Amino acid sequence: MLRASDLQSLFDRLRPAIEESGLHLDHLHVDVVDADTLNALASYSGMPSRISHWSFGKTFHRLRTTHDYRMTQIYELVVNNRPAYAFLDRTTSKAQALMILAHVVAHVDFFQHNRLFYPTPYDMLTRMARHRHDFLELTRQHGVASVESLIDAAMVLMDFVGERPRVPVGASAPDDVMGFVIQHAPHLESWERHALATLYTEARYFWPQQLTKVSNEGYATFWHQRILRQTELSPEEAWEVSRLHASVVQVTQPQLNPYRLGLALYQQLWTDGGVDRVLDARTQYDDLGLIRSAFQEGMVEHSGLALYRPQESSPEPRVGSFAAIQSQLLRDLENGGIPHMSVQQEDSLPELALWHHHDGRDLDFTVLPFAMRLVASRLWKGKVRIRTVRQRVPHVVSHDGTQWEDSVG
Amino acid sequence: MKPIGMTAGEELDWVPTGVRQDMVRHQEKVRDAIRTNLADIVLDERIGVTDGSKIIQVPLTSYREYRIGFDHDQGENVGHVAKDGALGAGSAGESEAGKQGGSEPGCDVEETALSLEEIEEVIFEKLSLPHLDLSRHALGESNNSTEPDTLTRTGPRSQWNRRATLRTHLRRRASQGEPRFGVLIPEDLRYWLYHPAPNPEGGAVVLAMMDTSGSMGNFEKYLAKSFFYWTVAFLRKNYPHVELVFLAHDVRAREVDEETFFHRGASGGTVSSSVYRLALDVLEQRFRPEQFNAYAFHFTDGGNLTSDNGFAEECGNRLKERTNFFGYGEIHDTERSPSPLYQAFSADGTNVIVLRGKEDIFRALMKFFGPDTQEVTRAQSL
Repeated sequence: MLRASDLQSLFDRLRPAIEESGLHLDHLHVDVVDADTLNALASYSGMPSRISHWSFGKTFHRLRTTHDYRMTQIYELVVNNRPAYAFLDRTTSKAQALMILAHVVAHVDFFQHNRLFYPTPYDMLTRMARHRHDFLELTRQHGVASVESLIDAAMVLMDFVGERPRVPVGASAPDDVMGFVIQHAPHLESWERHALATLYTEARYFWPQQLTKVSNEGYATFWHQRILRQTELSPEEAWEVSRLHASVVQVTQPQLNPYRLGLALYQQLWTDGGVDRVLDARTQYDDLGLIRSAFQEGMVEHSGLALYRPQESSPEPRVGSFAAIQSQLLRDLENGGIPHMSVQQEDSLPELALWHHHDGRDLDFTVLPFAMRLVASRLWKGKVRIRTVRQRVPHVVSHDGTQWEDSVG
Repeated sequence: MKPIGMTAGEELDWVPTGVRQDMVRHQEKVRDAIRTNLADIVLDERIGVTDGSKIIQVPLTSYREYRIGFDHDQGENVGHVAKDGALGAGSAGESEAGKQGGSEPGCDVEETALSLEEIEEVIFEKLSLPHLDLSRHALGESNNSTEPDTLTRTGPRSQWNRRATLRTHLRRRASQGEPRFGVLIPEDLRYWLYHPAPNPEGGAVVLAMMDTSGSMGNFEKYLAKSFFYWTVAFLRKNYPHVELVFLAHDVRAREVDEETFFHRGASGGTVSSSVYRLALDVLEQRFRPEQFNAYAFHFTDGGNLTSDNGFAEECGNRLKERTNFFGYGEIHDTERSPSPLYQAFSADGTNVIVLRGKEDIFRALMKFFGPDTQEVTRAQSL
């Protein structure tokens, strides 16, 4: 059973290696909590207080069930905030906690130095708690149904908040669909616009994390391995640590393990240019940048990468050339795995016109009508149109809240 | 460089604010989704067997989180291969996926697996037998008596009878020649013993009447059977002592067993009065009114023999008087005006309903057994 008092001494053991590593952070606060609490926190993306929505309850239910069946175990959660907050599972052993602490420290260093995170607010923990209060007040005034349906619909657009980290006030980038809707939707009430703006800031806060899954996890895995090698461990501790590390980087065919891939990439950078190259990469790169600069020929073989067709019931690995694997990886991780969408508004039309920048992958047409109906009926309160390509044929799909249309051309 | 500050804290029995409400809200959404999808569940072939352990995949479209995303059923993506082609080397591991960063938005879509029992719980939650007269006691017993009647030497602490214990103690001491209070020994202890008492819930009989004439097509039979399937399941669950009588009729009516009722084919014409007369006979001979609450439900396609309509109405009204509740349902798959029998029954306040599609089954259940049955009855009789 891990206690808060243990953590302090464990951290002191790691401190020399951390301080020598070049990692830097101001302050880290670690809370030890129950496994169930950790699952609950994970469903709120680590936020102890966040707006209320049934989807968080659903995620918690799923995490709890998979945890009960021993299918997933969350060891840590790190919140991008200053001071940085982390949560650890009470049931981890001290040796495991050593490794997890080193991992957490690297995550925090990543949050505080990576270019993509410069614009994220420092005090999101308290802001989120305030958002909760604001939304409770809105629920009191306007009813559960209207606030809940607003969040349901906003969640569709929260994936489309624009790629560029900073845009001048008042001007919105074309790929900032949500920002555009908040500003220009013709029939939104002012409280709705306000609530959407709040959700928008949350989406912008989480967006860089979408783009840095491999780089952030790889970086943390790289450093926990390195720091623990420089820390004196008893044989029992060394055994436990290696076991935990092995489970973190283990292969679960046919999934891509970001810890494993990211670790290989940072190890490559280390070989190329030592610690400076590693620290430079954590400042500069998102997932795509990291792969472009560090992905090497031998890694396909060494990390065991292959191509899969996910539609097969038991996908068979297909050997790919270095170039094929690299370009597919870039495509998988492009834009956080979310389609590129931009606003193509013509002033004369009262419709919301979007353009899907087709890159070879079609949109999922089974859920598209439902997603568009939410946006059309609750946010735009009018017709929403998307120009896309399906099976190499141009399509225009639209939904006005009641009617779904799909026409070729 | 200044040293890294580190603090640690411990949180016991703490969860993020509002997680319980969000879970409750999520469960409500699931329940709503089940209710709106009931027809599909009812008509699912797999459910035809009563097997409570079965997990059913219920597509709950109304509670999915929709996103605009890629179609993952096409194209390829990159994944890892287990070394030496050792398939699934990591799949059986104890902690797959290891850690999870603080950035996972829960955004997948899924079907929810529910057991038949869970579905029944949701559907039956609000259902009850209408106008149940609890003073009509039938046979059957339960263990929920409140009056203890005998004593025993062992038992739970809460049923310890102090007076009897003291009496036994003093009697034992007196027989040993010391008629004073001493030290209690286990043999002195006495406890109240509760015995099963008659079930205070009323006895009830439910008559399920179904038209099996040739004019009942597959669709009509399916709806009628689905309605009775859920009715029987609901009664078995909420009222274990309820008696069920299955009556099938075409030109003549006969009492059949459950198996036959649900699985026999159809032929012949329709004379509804036959089944009402049989129902009255069954009630007369086997279920005394002071002991049994009686309920009757009749489902037909409405194609009653014209010459029988008058007599059927008369018998139907007698049945209505004799029972606590008489529900009459007609199944039309097309828009046509209800039969004369339907009009006659609805005019004098019998509970009538028309089923047009499979989504009406839950409506019928709610109408006949739902919480506002009394209001419905009153509104119709006005």
